Amino acid sequence: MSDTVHHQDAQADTPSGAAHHEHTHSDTVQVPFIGQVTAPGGIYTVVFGALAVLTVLEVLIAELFKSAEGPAFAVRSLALFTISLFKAILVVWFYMHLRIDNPIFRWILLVPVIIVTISVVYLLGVPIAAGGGYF
Amino acid sequence: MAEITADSLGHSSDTQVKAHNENLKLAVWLYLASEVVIFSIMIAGYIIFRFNEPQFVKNLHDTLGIGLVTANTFVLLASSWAMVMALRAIQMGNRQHFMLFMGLVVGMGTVFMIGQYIEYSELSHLAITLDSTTEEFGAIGMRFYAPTFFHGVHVFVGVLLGLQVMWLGRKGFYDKNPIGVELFGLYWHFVDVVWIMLFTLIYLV
Repeated sequence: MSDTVHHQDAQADTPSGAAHHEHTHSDTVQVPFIGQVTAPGGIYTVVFGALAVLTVLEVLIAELFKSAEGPAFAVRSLALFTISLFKAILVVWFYMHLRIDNPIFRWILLVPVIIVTISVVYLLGVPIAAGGGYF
Repeated sequence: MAEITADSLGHSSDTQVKAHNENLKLAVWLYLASEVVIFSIMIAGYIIFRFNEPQFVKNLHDTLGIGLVTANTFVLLASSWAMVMALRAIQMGNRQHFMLFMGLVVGMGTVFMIGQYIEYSELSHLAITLDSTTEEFGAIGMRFYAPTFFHGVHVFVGVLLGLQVMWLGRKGFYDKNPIGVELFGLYWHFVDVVWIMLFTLIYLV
């Protein structure tokens, strides 16, 4: 019994927990659609690679469709925004450790984002509803 | 009355440390939540200008180009990678690698600020200032400078904080409890996330 207690406490020796560290510090990660990848830094380096590729993709879309107008402009903008949102989520989820931290931190970040998004959409929509508009 | 043994004290203090760490992280997340609101207001101001005056924004994009700001974006993304690697190193007890990666964070943050300075110099040559109105760019100044300069100030403060983290880390301050590094990392990654959004909204869309 005491051995079990000590083993459990040993895992909590470092404030973040040794078991968590072993999982985080592995250089080998399972990447969706690609398989097992081994790189110095493990998941952090894989995420950086993804961020770099997505940034290149963003710039290509922005430059290749620079003169897009009307619906094409809307599709281009939506694509760019989606990619940047995905990049932001990668950083927040993996680098800021929201993946493994207390779930309340996710809500602390999400609530102001949701409130602000609703507020901005409302403010952008008010002149349209009033007969004015930006378009 | 039960004797308070060294063991029970050790276990209790470890629990207290963990609880204290969680409280510190909560405080930083609450601070970051307030930053979300501030940056969102500035971003909203730019979005409204973007829809109102698309030609001015197009002129700015055509004049500035995409090269410098893309390079700057890669620098900041790389600094975010270096930051998380620094935390990983100190958690694994490798102080040497921690100092190396933190040096990269501070260095790349400085490079980013130099890139921003170069871009601001270009804009000043185009007579784009905070309150200027030109035929080619309208009143884009404030809408552009507000979010980007506010972000730049965050990078500057981050560089100073990073130097402090390096200084304390060099003396072994984070060897037993690297929470200070993790907290600084949260701030630095948030600065990176804001730039990810600004880069897309201001320079690409």
